[in-house]
Amino acid sequence: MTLATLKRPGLLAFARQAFAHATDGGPLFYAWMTLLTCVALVGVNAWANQVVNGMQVTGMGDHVSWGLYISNFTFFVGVAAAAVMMVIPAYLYHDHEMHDAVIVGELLAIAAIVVCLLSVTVDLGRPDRFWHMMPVIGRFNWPISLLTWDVIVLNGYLGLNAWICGYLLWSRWCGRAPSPRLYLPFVFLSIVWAVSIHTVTAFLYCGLGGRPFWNTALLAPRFLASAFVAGPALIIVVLLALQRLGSYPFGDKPIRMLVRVVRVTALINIFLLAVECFTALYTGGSHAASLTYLLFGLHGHHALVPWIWSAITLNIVAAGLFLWPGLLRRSRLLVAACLMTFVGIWIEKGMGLVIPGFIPSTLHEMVEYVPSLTEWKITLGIVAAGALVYTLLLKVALPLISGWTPGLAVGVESMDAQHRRLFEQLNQLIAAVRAGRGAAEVGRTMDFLDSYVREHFADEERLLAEAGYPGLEAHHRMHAGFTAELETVRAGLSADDSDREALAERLHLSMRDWLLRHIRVEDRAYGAFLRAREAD
Amino acid sequence: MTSRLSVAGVVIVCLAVVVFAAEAAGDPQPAPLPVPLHAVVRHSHPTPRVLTGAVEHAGRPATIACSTCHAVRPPNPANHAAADLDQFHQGLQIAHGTNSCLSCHDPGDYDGLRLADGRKVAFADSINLCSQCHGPQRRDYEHGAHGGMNGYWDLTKGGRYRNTCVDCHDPHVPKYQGAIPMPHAHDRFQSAGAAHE
Amino acid sequence: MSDLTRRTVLKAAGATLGASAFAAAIAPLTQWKPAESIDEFLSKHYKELSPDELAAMCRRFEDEAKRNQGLDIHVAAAQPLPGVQFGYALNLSICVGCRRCAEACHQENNHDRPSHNSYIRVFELENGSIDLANGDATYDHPVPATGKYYMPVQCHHCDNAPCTKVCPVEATWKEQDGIVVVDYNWCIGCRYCEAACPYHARRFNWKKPEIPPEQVNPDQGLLSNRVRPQGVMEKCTFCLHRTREGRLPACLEACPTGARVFGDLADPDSDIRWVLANKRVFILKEELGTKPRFFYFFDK
Repeated sequence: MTLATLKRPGLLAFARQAFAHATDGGPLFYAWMTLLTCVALVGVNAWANQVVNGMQVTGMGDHVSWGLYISNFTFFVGVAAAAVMMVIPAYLYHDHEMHDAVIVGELLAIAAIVVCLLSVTVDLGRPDRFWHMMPVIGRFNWPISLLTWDVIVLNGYLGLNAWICGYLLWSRWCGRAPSPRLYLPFVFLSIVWAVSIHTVTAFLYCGLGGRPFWNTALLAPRFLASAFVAGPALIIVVLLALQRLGSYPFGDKPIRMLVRVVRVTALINIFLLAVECFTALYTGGSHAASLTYLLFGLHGHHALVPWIWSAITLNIVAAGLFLWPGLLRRSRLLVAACLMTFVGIWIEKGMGLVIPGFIPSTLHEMVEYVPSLTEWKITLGIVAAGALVYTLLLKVALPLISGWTPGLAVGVESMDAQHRRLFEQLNQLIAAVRAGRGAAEVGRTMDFLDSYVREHFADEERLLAEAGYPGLEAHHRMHAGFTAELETVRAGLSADDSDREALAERLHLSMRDWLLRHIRVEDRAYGAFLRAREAD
Repeated sequence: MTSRLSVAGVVIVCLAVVVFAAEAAGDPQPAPLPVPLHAVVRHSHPTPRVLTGAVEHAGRPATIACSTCHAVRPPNPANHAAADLDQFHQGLQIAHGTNSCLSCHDPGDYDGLRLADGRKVAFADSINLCSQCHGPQRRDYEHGAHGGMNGYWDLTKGGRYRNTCVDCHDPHVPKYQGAIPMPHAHDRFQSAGAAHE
Repeated sequence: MSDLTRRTVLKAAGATLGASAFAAAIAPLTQWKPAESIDEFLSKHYKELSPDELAAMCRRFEDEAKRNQGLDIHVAAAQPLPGVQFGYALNLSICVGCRRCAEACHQENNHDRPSHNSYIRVFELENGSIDLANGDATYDHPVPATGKYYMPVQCHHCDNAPCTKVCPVEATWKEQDGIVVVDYNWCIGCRYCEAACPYHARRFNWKKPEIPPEQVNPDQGLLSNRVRPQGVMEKCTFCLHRTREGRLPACLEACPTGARVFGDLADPDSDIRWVLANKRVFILKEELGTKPRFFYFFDK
């Protein structure tokens, strides 16, 4: 038996581990990262050219003075806000399983805010004067300018989510239960804050009396409704992809929950759009001009008509699919429905909301807008950068959530190695069950886990008996309970009509979480005992 | 500023279709004015003279005063248009209400004008003649809301330089004759003429 | 070579490749010259400059024009005249739509020549309607056309200006004499003000303005017609480099019909006050509550 000195896991080690997690992966991971890097670099290059040559390289002009950048910004504020749809069930309704999955949403919020901030930055004519907006050294026109409010809420939201995710992961790394005092208030604050980022972003537009298309109190509710469609839809796709990639450490419950959310919000979103259309079109007059242009074309200009009808069709079809209970069983169709509504809302809320505000112009001139190649390059580059950030965050966070961390070390090298291996085996099994792998493969994984668990328990108990550990009897009973549970699951797996999802959930909830708690409490207790004995 | 004033002056003179053959008139320069200051009205319209078609020995076109002929011809109050005349002023366009020639021209002195009440008015002061009928325009003019100006809004700092009626309105055909507009801005992505319909 | 080392080597190679690709991608920025000098880059907000600093800034622009283009220009930082409140009125009954005001603005304010930019847009409207939806600002036929009337639109210098409210960095504000100005050295180019303005009064410098040196108006104001940098907002300033000296704005001087009336709203004897008291005055989009300093009126 080799006893290691138990060091408090340091921040540097955490960073080193995070870096290793973030940069290690299979060929698919490297291909994905290379692709994103290339797209992002194309965007960087296009932006550098835009900075040098001026905004003349865009399709914008004095009539339509905001375009793709601000459209994309607006859309991704919604995506960021959507994390709240996982936070609410997880923390307000104490849904245990959502508790772990919520980090997927919170990390998405961080990546989406990065996309937002970059989108606004590339829209600046003078990025070199960015510092003029900083309080103290610049002149921050707060509280008069809504844009300053947006700067505050977006950065605040970024900070909140970074703190919550960072703290939870750090606690997990240290093998400590997170202190509710240090994160729960921030979680509840982030719920309100998520609503605020999209409300303030809506206020950017609806506070402008000169633009009747935006000057409607319904804008903020519409923003939120559409955000709570597109955001959860994206998270569903991410969860399904992680499941497929075998790196998904949670049950199916989050997906079911999010589908239920989208089922409602998709309808609300369509309803609010219809309400807006009725009010403007039935009243008529110049206030309906922009909406008429958007939906039907005006004075011979129709650029947005095919787009908005595509968006409306996509949203209605997707809403119908979400109403169908069978959707959950067909993951391909579910992905299709999610992508449809995601694209539908991207069009409706980005181009469909920002651009018509400028057409016709405030003096009723008709000048249409088509994004330039530069704008597309930059926008795609930003989205790729966001995806890059998100991938790296997930790469760091997911193993920490589901695997062994140095914080769980009991200080006995052989036991720590076995514990690490146990987590790996268990996660492999969960992934195999979830991904619907064949019975033979699942069986093999199960067999291996089963024998490994027994071996480990025997080793551990032998060690404790040799050391004369007083809690051996109780410890043994716990091990026996776990072995019995494993037996039940094994029986379930070999049955032909087994409900694999329920089994996977059981593996995840009752077994991995048990393991986590057991190591954290009981195993560390014997570790302390052994070290104390050694010291005497 | 001087050059811009002249440019504006030239533009205005081009706009005004003056059928009189007048002595070439340079823009009078706005002299430094004492306080309180007043507007300087352009008096670029001295008593008109008529072209004879002949050329003086110095090469300038020979002109004669109106009174040269009119002193020996009896005035005819019935004349309203060029068609009524048999010798001079052929082709002269007249479209100014129901006025006859003698509504404005002074039959007692063809080198001057006269008001309806018979008082004489010099050509240079024709604004007083026009104002008999066009009172609202005269009133607006006096309040800076008609006719345009150059110079200072603040009359304690400098004077103004103003047009008079006939700078823009041909007294015989006073309707504003129109202009070719200056080019519009070439806004990004706005196609001209395709604005509406 | 062990797998671990190979991995490290590959990672290092990837990182090097990525870093050099990034350097190549941002390489165009080496040609970027956002500011003429470090002084310009670090210059303070207009309102924080002392009279000496303002004068120094004016000299700097004069020196730069001399050095770069061989031009003798005069840049001044004219301050609001005490007690003066500027206002502008435009007579729709006699405007003929000749665009001489827009042209004068183009020349006076050192606008970009290729785009023929101007702070004034002249709309041709149909008699019997004031609906701008039937308007056209790109007409080229002789004016006035039958059945049409003309409405020039420029900055209304609103007392409740939507544009100044939205600026995140206070780069645009209303001066004491009512003129809404832009600090070209402070504007970050977000164009929020352009979205907020109900009168299409603001223009953005989508590129660096191009003016042949011989066409530059040398009589320049720091907050008005000095040649603007790329990427900032600009707008009508009532020609403050002229009007704060008591002179009339360039657009008014160019108007051949006298449709334009400019003056001091605080002076009861001013022409503009006479117009407001005696004419049928209306305000464009009055319902928006912007409280413009720009008025339209009719004779009949």
